[in-house]
Amino acid sequence: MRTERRVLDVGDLPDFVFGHRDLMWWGTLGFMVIEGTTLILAMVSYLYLSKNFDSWPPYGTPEPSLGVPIAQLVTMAVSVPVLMWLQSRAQHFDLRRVRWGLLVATLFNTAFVVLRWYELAALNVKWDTNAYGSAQWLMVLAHATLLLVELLEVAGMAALFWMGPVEKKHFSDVADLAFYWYFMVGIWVPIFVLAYLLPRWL
Amino acid sequence: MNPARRFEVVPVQAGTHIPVKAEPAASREAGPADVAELECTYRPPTGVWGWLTTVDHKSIGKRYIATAFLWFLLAGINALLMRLQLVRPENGLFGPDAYNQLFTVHGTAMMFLFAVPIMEAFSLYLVPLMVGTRNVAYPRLNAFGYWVFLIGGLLLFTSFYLNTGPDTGWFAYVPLSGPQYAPGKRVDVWAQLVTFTEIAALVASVEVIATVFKQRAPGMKLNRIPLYVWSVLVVSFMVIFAMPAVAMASTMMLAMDRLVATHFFNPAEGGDALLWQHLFWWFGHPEVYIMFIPGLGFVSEIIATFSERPIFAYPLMVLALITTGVVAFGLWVHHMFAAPLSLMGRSFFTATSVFIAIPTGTQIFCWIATIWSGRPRFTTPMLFAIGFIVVFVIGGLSGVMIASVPFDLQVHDTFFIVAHFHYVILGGVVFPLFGAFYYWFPKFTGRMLSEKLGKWHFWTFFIGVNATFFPMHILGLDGMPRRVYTYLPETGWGGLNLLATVGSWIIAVSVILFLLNVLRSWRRGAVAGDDPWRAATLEWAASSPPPTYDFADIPVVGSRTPLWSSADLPVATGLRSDRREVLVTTVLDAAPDNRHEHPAESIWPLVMALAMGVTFIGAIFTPWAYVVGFVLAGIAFAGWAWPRGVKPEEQLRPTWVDRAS
Amino acid sequence: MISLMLALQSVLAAGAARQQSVLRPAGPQADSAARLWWIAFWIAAAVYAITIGTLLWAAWRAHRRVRTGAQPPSSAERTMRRAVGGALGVTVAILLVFISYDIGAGRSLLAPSRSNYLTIHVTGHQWWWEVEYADTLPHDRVTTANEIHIPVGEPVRVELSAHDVIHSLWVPELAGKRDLVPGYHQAVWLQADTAGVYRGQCAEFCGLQHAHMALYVIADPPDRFQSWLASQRQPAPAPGDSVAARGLRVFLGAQCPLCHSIAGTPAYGNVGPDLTHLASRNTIAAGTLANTRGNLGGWITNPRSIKPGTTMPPSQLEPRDLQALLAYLETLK
Repeated sequence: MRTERRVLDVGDLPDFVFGHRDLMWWGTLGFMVIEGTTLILAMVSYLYLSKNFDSWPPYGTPEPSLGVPIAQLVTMAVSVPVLMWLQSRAQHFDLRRVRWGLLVATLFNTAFVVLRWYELAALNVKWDTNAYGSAQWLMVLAHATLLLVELLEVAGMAALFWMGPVEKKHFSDVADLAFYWYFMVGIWVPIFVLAYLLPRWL
Repeated sequence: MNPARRFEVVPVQAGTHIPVKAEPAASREAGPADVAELECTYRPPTGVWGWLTTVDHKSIGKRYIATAFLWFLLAGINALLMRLQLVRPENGLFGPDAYNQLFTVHGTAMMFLFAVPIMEAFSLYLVPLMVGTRNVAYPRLNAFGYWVFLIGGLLLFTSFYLNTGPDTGWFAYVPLSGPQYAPGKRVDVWAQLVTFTEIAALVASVEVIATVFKQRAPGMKLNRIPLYVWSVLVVSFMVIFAMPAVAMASTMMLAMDRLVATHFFNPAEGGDALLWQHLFWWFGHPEVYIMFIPGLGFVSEIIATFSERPIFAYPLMVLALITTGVVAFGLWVHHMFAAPLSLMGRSFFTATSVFIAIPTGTQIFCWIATIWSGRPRFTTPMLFAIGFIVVFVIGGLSGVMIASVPFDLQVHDTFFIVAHFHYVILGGVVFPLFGAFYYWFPKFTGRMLSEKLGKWHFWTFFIGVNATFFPMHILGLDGMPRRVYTYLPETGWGGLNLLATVGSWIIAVSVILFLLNVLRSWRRGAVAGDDPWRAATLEWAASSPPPTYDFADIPVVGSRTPLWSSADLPVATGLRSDRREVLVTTVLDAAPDNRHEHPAESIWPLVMALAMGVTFIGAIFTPWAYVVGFVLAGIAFAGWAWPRGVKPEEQLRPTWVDRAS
Repeated sequence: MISLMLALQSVLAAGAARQQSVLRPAGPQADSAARLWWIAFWIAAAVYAITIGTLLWAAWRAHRRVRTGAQPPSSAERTMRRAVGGALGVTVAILLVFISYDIGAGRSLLAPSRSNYLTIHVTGHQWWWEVEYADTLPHDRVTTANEIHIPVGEPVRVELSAHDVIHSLWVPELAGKRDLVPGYHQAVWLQADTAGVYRGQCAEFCGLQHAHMALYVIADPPDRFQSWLASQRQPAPAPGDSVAARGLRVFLGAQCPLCHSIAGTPAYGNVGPDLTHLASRNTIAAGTLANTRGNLGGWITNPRSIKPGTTMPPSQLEPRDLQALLAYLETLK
């Protein structure tokens, strides 16, 4: 065994930090990149399949409706500043406001999921009608898995903050949750364009 | 060396928050870690429970390696049986159905269950030790990744031994693998096997990236990390961008075509058979570099140690690794030259496929330079490293040949291709892998493998590989296509097939010699000591095998070859011994930044993996499995994430806060 | 030096298989590919010899220095920089040469400039090849299976489509392979410069009997080809004697017409190969068996013992009926 020579002392370093200094943030980033890649590939596949059709949607398939998807977009847009507020409160260790903010976030996420259910119907095509329908359902359902997983997370976090032993590092986790939220909402925008606008434009 | 620094807590506004400060290190005099307390903090539970709940990257790494090697042996037996069937024309040992399962499971297991996972497993073991930390970034996630991998392998081989193994080739082209032409559940098994292995691979990649970026020893700037760590870092990025393609294509598209009648690949409803090929090979080509690049990392470490000098031109080597990883994403269409695609488009992929030879060639030239200017010792690991170059270059050269469209149109889907990829895989992946086994076995177990048996192993493997696969180049040029369960006598292919089969027996003998070596040396090999090879990298500063916590105090480095730069080991003290703390450093310069507590043993990763198992195996039969799975995963997630063992003084209590905040 | 290489080359090529060999080109595309192969082979052999030679020499040199206790030269770093840089430069140059030659060879894949050419449609089935000679007059179209006849010395356009799964048409002595992909159509040009019989085989795994999906391309001088085509255009002759007549009745009365057609009879099934000129073909079952009475009889009785997994079911014919059927089928020239 080599002799050790002490050259540095790290004992006074903080044991909780926010953002990219925190180890957990990198895990969140990793999963965002993975899921983002998957969704981009789904979008590319959708566009690839469109070359097999003369019209898009194919003849005989109705265009998607816009009502519910627009409601979803609005709900998502409204949620963003709320989550930004929640993130800032978490960075100030404001336990009381974070608790309420997490409840509100859970409500928003539930709304997303419910609206997503109706958004699937708004596609006006079934997954087994033709390749257009299959590709539409793939993009929208794949994004729905993000919504569902995030619902588990935000509900769990809310439960923790109301009922459980809260530690300082959990505030960092709330900030990470907000970080993921922006991605989840942001990546929906191009999918919305491809799924609900493109068939109406072409 | 940097003087001890004091770091400020995260700034907060006065009066509106619960005052927080860094938890002071227990018993805070600036002294080295209390080893006895560290041992206690890191002591795992004993018995089966300990085995099921471990979060130690070394335990997980070792069992991961052993499991992956088991799949290698089973898939290798498939290969021996395939060679037996092909030993002479019109042989009746296996009919077409059995043979199709044999070669599909051989390829699928080798690619998805052996080659990539064993490289990941090595990285999960070695990376924390090489970068000077105590564990990977997410210890429970690591355990989860292993269990998911294990379930995937059990799924594939159980199905195969029950005669419902997949039978449409390891890349399962549609429409052959679609609902109409592949009835039953065989291809669904394949699709979910891909899901399990893909989850495990992505988990390992996230671990490596986070660990390498944020948990390096102070002073280990990015341009000081070992070349092996660079190689697995590059590969981890590649996995993240490549794996989702095959996961989506197999689980979300092909499985859905088969289960719920989507039409992704059904031309009658606008689906597209080539969409499968594009998605698969977007993954499939980087996949082979994902297998190969860690091998390059192994070879760099081995050649450096046994030439007693650092690898020549480190920056060029790093650039070569990164270039290979990036360019690997631009080659995929060369698997599709015979498909209906535009001729113009194909030329681009010829150019990229030829170009990728340049960074790999660069590495080979640098290794030769290193050996020439060094003081080489021809131990078994070094023999495997040199053997890698001798065998791999043949595969690399045949690879450049098939980058040419006119030539590839002749040999595509023939035994020439089988020869090519076995040369690059056996040469580029398995030779370095065996070298790595001999090199790091002393670190894993504290004992040396036998050099004598090692040399016998090396030479029989070298001869066996060449005897089996060189004739296949000729068979391909003689017109023998791939994936045929038999051939007619008048083709004249019998002689070379016989030679290849005999070669396969020689390979089998060499693998048996290796297993004998491992079994004998595990308990009775020569005791290794910390650093039997006089190597340069940090893992050799830990004991052999290392303690659960890897290092009592975190090393501090000032060069690329820390153990050659100073006789003693500079360390950083100050991490707590009463809980599992690691040091988090900055990404580029590895300056100490904060301390992070790692979790202790937990059963929840296994529970979550079982939930995934139920979900995806259920999804072979019904899409409702995803609904059930979501609920199960939710439960497992709750168990995993809910904090346990929180001391009361660390809990926060709500206070009324100032409205102005 | 060149003549030595060429001599070695012909020795190696002579060892190539008697049929279906990439190294025995009989047409311009295969010729171009074979030439590319030999150039690439010699370059690769030289590169390999130099690279591995240098590796082994470097190891030996350094090992000798270790044993004698000598030091590496003081200019070692500079020497290595130059050597690695030089090797890189040479590598890039060789690869550029290879790519340039390859682009030239790629021109052989382009369509020849011709205004009139024979067009043949090939459709891949599990596990046989449907071959149709196109013509503006439906009456003049020819349908056959597993054999393609072409005139020597002319490029022939082959249009490829797939009936079920992906197949790949490959006749190594004439041209590289092209995949037959459901939902896609692509064309390949075939040209044989020497008369002969060229064997090919499906080269994309297509299921249980992928191994037994061969075909023959028969290149004839133009007049022989035209007479073949003319005879193929004729419907099947009426049975000449009572045995053959009985055979036709057996054929029509059994399950055969469900899948097979014989022009000039009421049988027009299109699941399996067209049998109108079965007796003019050299092989049956996609090149698996020679077309003899015994083989044909065995095939009809139990196709799955020869090609397990084939769609064609076994038949239970009385021996006299079977013999009559075979006699009739032998008249289908």
